Amino acid sequence: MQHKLYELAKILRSRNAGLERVTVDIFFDDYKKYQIAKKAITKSIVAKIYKKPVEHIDIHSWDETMGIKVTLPRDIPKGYPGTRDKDGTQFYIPLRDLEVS
Amino acid sequence: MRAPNSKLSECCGAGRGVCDSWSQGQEAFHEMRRQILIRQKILKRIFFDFRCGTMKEVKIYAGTCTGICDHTEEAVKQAYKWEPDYVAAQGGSTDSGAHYMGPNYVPSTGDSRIKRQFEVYVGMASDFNVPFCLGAGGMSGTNLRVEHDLRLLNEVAKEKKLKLRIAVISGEIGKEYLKEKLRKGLKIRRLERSNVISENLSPADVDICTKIVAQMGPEPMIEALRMDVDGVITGRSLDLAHHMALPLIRGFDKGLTAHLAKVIECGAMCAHPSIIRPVLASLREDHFLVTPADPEQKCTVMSVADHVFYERPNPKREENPGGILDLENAKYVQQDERTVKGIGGKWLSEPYTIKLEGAKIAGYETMAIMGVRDPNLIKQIEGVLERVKMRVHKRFADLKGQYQLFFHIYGKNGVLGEIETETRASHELCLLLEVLAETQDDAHSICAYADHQFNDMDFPGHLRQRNYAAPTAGRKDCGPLYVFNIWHLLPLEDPCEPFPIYIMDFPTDRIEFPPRKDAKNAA
Repeated sequence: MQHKLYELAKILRSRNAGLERVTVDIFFDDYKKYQIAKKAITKSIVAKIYKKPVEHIDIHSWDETMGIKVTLPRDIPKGYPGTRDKDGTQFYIPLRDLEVS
Repeated sequence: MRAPNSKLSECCGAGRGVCDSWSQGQEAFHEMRRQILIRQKILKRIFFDFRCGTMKEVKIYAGTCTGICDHTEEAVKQAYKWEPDYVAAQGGSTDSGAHYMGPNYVPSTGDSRIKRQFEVYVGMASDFNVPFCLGAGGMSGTNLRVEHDLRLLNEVAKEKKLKLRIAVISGEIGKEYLKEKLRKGLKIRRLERSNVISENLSPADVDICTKIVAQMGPEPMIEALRMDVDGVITGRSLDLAHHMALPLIRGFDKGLTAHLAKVIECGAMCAHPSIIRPVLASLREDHFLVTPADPEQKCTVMSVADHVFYERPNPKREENPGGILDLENAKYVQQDERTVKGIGGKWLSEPYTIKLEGAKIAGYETMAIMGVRDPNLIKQIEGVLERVKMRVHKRFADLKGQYQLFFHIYGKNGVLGEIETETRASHELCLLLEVLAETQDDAHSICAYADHQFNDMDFPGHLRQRNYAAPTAGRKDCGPLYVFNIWHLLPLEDPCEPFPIYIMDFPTDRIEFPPRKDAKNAA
């Protein structure tokens, strides 16, 4: 059965990581859900969703805390003219509805 | 809060608690108890200072120091029952952006809140006669902002009748200091891959900055704490440094100390619910315990692990001045309902570098807010805005390349821009027009022209109406826009070299920072 990522995650949020990157944190409280998500969230899928080069995407995961961290470049460096999201808090949205199974 | 240092004899002449009335007796009893406590603490400190490194525990009342940390009555009450050995709080950070790096003071959290936090931190440290180590100058840590905070601290000292000798450490970096390093051939590299930060710092990068600060590590704070002072206040610093300073003097393991500091650096943000309030952290020889001070919150394994992940690209390996905090083997265990035990942090030594942050003025901004409700216009909004932009470019051809113009279309893709996938139309839109130019006058002229053009723009189905509704503050000049242009790592032989320490007595008639007299260790 297909689920969306936000239905499986316990914590799903994003924040700036430095001047020109944002990081999306995804935590689970169930190991099976964590494994499903870990398999679905790949560099190429993230690159496609965020329209960024795949080599600029970093993904780390930690089994014992059931957490995944996706780091990607921002559109505009934080605080520069035209910044939409100064603190990077809404960058998790495109991943929210990712279909995982 | 009672003033410290009041002698027992001043409280009730005999000094034996024998007084005329019941309330006087009560007061005398509590004062006697406080004096005994103070003497115990002094003896304990001398004893452990002498034995240096055998103290088994450091109890840290930890929070943040920008005025945001909420020291609730319950939290403070719990802390007083718990009896801390150390009061520590990090200052602000560049999270809030470069806006606070300008030459004038810009309020961030409000003076009354900054004063309240000093009342709690410094008052508590004074009541228990323990050292404090606080980061001031919230949101940037420049000398100007530190001075502002010191004025508020001075008021607190006067109102609470506290006599304090404080080591104040500047986190601001002089341009000449950096240019001298560059002249001597030092390579100062940028922190990370970037489209806007130069790969190697140049004198031109330094000259164009309004202010430059650097994140001092715990070393200058350690040096200051060893001086004959009641506590330490710093400008810009590493977020872990204040919490690390006293434990490192006491000989606790650096990896474990840094690990604890990482958990508590934002106070009870590591708790559930995640609110910036104080925490009570106990550092032991081979583990630490973290409990939120306010009984409404609790630390859980998930809340702590979640916070450690926060903001860093790779939380398992974090670069800090002089080393890497390796959390590969970090573990968290639920100790009781509200307390988490942590172990496993390791420190891997590296050559010492500090992070430099410098800001320049990118230009001046004017913004306009416009509410759009016409369904026909909403359907073709992007095309209409493109035509507005073309008219602006034509009208201001003489300023080509000297300005930037953005339309943020809230209700369509204002938040996510080109990565928005939602296609359902909204019945109303909010346009935020942002113009950046080299002068405020140019920014205002361009913005005014653009919003007028939009208001009058015709389009298929136009019925000669005006196109938007403006709220009262429709068009506003925003002043200078500061952006970071120094984001580099400065290698250091001596971690204290760029950070002069000044000894200042409070209360005093006149506050200026840095003070005119020489620093204790001026570079």
